[in-house]
Amino acid sequence: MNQGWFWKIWERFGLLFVILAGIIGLSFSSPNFLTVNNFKNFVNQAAVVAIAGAGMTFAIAGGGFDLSVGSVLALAACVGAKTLINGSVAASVMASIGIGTGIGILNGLIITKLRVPTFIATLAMMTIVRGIALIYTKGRDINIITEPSKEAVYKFFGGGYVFSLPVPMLLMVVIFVVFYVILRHTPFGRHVCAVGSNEEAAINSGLNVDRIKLIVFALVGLTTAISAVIQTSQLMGVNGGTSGLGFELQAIAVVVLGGTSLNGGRGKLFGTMMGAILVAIANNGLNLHNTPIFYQYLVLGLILLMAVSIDGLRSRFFRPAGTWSER
Amino acid sequence: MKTNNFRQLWDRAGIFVALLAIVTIFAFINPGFRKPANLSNILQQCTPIGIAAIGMTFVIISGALDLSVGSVMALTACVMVGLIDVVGFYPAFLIAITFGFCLGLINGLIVTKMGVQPFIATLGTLWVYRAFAYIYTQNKPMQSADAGFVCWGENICYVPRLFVVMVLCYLAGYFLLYHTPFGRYVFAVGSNRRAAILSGINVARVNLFVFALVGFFSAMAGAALAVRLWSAKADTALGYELMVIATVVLGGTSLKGGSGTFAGTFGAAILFTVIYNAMDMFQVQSYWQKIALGGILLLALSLDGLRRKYTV
Repeated sequence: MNQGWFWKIWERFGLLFVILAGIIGLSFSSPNFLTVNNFKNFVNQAAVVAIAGAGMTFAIAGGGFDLSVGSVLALAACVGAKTLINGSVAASVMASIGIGTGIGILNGLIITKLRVPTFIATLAMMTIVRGIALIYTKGRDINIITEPSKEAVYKFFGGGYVFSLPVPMLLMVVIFVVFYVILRHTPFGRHVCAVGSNEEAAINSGLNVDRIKLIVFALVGLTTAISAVIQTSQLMGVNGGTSGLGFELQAIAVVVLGGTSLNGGRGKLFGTMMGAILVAIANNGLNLHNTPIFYQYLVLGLILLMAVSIDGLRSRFFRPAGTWSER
Repeated sequence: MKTNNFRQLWDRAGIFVALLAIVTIFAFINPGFRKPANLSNILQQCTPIGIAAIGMTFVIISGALDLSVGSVMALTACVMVGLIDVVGFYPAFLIAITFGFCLGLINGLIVTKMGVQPFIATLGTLWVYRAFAYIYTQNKPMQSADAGFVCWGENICYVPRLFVVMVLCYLAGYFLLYHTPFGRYVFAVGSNRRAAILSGINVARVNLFVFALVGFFSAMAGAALAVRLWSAKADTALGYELMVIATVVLGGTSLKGGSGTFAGTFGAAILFTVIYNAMDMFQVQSYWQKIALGGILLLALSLDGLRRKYTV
């Protein structure tokens, strides 16, 4: 059955329309919205979620997801912050990325070698890594106070400019382009989608499914660590107990907002980025209107529900087999 | 064939063997642990998660997942405690339970009418319900010293009243799952959705009712938590949904749907509480408790996973 021009356009550009509508609405309702400073604000916010979301898009396209990213963000940030205080900037970034990727690989090993279901493996790692972050920091805040020269260099990741463009935004764009190429134009990307859409078939057609999953979870860890570096550089401090709390669900939400199905087999990276920007704009608008922080939960939940309901209602008209509205 | 029998027995009773072993060991080592007061304390501590796990067992057997459990617990607990001093304990309790049922129904309607995947639908309502709890309480703790409310936290000769309620809830859930057509439909829908549709089961209605049940039991669990703490806050039960899922899975219910037992969930709920309690007794830092919780989950599930890897 022909799906109609409306849905075709909606699928491609729906999120973009919503973002534009949000920008127009907010620039009327708040004089501070359309300013360079504010643009910087929400792009920086969006980049942290979006970059981890890029890794999560791979995991979801591969038929799983990672619940440990919030805790990994916290631990990578803590280790990076402590290393920065005692060592060089390069060592700090390497430490964060090493920790993130290492835990990602560990997740992958638990899932592939010990055959623990993805959900449970990453759920268990979520509490374990959070515990480690708390023990490592003894539950205290880490405030990065060190030589000003080092601080200045480290702040570049979260607040610097290249050609007057914010660094987090550039990092986000570069990572998304690279990931897009990997997902769409390399054998590995096709293999990830193959594993996500039908694991049995992927095994039978000779793919090394275990290795593919391992790399996917390593990528999730890597992107989360990059997010951790950006966030730490913005805040110049971190708390092992509260940093990244609930971040895993936000990352999954922006991926889903972007149109990637949890059924696996497909990943929409551009959508993930748009989803993160939409959420950042909504939060930014609420901040500008001085609403209490918990209204952000409400708006995040409602945006997510509306987006997926529109998609769900659409499939309700056609009611394809296997959807949850099927009778 | 002997190994097969052993495996079946282990699947059924393994969690209780582990529970018995752990309780015996701790009782020998730590005199504080084996005091009757502490044991009844354990029975009381396990009730919120234990009761919430009943609904979660239903929904996981039906092949879905509900992430909004913690938020429903917080919202219904806040509403109940807020209403106690207005209308009295029992009416407030009934309102809260009905409210929880309706919240679950909304989850179910989003899943079945809008065709949204359960994970995403309940992820959305996780935030929405939690935000409602904050808005309702304006982020202030709700308290009540109503006699009817407080008395539910007491013991009847070392058996906490809440634990009795939990056992009754388990019996009700057991009856519903194993002795009614509805229970058989839940298994059928969870093990093979297509087949259930083709054999004429109204799958959407089964899903809808399962989500409503989760809401109901979450509200019961929220009430139990409020009774235990004599109060409720908007951030109570934060992250409980994942603990509840962990409990159900440790109890032997598969996330793939179609199989699971209440006995296992019951045992796992008590097991987790015993381990937490014992760690408190041995003055283990709460940070290490998180690591232990994750470690136990990984250990149990990897034993299961490795067994399947090497025996099939």
